[in-house]
Amino acid sequence: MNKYKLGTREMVAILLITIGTKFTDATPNLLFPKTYMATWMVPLFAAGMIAIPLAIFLHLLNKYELGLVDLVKKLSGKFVGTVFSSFIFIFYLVGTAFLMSDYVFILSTLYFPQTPDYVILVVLAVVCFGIASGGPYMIGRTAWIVLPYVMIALALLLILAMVEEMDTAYLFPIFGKGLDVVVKESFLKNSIYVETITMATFIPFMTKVKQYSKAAIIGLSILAIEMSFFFMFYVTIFDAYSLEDMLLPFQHLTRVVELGRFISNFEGYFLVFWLIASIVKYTVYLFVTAHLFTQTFNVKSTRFHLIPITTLMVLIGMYPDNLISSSFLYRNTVLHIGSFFFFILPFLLWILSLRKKASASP
Amino acid sequence: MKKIMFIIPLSIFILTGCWDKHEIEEQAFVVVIGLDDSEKEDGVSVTYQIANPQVGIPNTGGEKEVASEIITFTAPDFITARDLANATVARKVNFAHTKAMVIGEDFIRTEKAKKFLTSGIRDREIRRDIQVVVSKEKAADFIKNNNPNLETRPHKFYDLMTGRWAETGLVPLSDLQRYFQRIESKNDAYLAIYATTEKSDDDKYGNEDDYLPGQIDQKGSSRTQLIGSALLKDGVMIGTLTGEETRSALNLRSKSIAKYMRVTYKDPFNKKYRVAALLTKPRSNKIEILTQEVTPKVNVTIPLSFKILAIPSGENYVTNLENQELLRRHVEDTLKKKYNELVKITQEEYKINPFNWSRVARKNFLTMQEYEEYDWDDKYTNADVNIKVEVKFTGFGKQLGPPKVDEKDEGK
Repeated sequence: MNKYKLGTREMVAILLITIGTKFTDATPNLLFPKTYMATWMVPLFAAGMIAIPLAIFLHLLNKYELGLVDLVKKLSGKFVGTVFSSFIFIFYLVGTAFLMSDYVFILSTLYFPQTPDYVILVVLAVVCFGIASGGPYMIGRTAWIVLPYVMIALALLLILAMVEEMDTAYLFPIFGKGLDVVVKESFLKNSIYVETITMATFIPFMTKVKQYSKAAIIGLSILAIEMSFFFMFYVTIFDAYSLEDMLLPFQHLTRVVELGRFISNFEGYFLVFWLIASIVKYTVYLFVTAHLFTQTFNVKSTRFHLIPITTLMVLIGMYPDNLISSSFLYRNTVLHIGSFFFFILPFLLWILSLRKKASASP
Repeated sequence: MKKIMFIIPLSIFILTGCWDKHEIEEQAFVVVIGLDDSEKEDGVSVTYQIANPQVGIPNTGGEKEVASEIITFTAPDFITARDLANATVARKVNFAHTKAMVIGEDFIRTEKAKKFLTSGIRDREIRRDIQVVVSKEKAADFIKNNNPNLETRPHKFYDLMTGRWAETGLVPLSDLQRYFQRIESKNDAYLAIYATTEKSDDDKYGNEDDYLPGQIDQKGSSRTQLIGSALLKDGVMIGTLTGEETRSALNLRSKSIAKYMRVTYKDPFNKKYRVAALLTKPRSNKIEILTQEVTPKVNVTIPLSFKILAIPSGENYVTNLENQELLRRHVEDTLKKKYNELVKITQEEYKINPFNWSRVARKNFLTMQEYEEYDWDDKYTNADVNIKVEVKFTGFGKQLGPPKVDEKDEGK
């Protein structure tokens, strides 16, 4: 039976793809106008900040050997647990829908200007649904298969970008708008790593809970460096002053690179890998959302609930009128709420578990 | 489920034909965009040079067609102008392969030009690697008159010409990306390629690089000259640099940019002749800016390698080490003088530096607030600039001593 369960590497792949695509969307645009050239510090600080609650959370996971929802329910009681986990469910439902419409706007702005937005959204949702209905093992394997190609494409992009004129002097003044701003933004945006906690939803489909902790730690350390590295690249190539107004620096980076004098304008090749990674990402989110729902409300068959959840996401995703409202208003708010909630949740659970222990011992 | 798995791959084939399908046959690729002022307050005069991809290819029927079509009209901006262009061009106007943007000098000297130029970047087809060329005459005239004989296709000309910056340093690297960087950071001057197709009246006989476009006394059928640069402060042109000054400006920048500059220097022994050499910058400059005091101090050390190409005077600068040292000193002094003159012009006349020194000054500050308060651009005008040139001989070509010239013919 263990044959069709997820291991450490699948989990690392899922984390690397879901979080590792964040520097390619509008997330940098939420950060650069605030922290400028010091933005590269934000992923590192944020990772350091989330490391503490994550450590507590992993400790609890290993102790009780339960998935996210079951753990919350066990420690905080049935009623409060349901409230908490339905909050996580709604957070995921709304967050994913807005993120999806974010990506639709990116695609329609840069690559498919004449295609109606809802068509891109529906095609994206249908493809993700197709993979998600294959179940958790299929998702994990897809992520693992796709990961090397995405990584190679990213590495190639970095190597080609290095040929362009880069100037490390752009990284100065080193603290941008000040260290206090960097720390504050790092805290507010620490939910960029929230997947390291929420992907514990996959635990029922894993062979061992220990493997999840291992994957979360490996994933977080790789991601912090990867993201910081990319932000540094954006700054050294474009200068932080330009990045303040430049939408989607990753897409700009793919347009800047050239392969010799004759091969230029090949952003389309990077688009393929970016799209594949995005599709895997949404598949994961879709499945997690559906699974959160079934676990929270104790209903069976996650697969059966994929259809209504997908439909709901498409409907919510159609709500924002443009990238500015989807990304800057809604997603920013969702990110901030998530940062506070997921930062506090592990501490809360920990206190509850200590109380439980205390009340159980006499 | 199986049905769905079948429908998804199938939809790939069906959906591609729906909306964003592009047939190359139906596209008109604009190679150059020209911008001039128009009489209308809220409009610009836009010129498109549209390439004909069929020309010159055998057996396509396009062998004898013209290489490009040039159209000029007044429009609210150069992006929406593409629909207006369809009044005469049957194909869909596409900017994806635009190589250069030519702007008339009269226009770029106004704030209006900056607004039109910066507003265009929003369009997805306008790429940041488009080269900015400032033409002495109207951009429309420049594009019309530019008729290179060696290049059949117009894009190739701009591609090759603007690519020469890396080798000769006579024109700067001036793409839209850098134009935006300078405007947005509000620091440093931007240098744009300066060009003309009209012969200037004040023909002069300068040395190898001391020209503005139009001044080179050349004879031939192509009248286009790209040399020197237009100096833009905050996106608006305020002055010009000759080819020589452009080279000096590039050398004063921190990064090593131009690879091969062929230059000549007055022969220290024989004032009638000049020593020809190939100048390269092997390493980045060492630039130090001290911002603690009221007047900032700038210390620049420029490492240069020097390869002798020709010694017309016949003096022995190769095996005679004393002469070699003398020439080295002489070159260092000449260069130092030139660099100092340029710095002085930029400080007094233009009041802004085209050497990207703000990037060095930035390093002295911890936060942007401190840096902005310091106001580097303002401080630069009184900065105490100290230039040191370090010339190293690295080659003498494939000849040792000079050929034996009869002493009688050579009056010393």
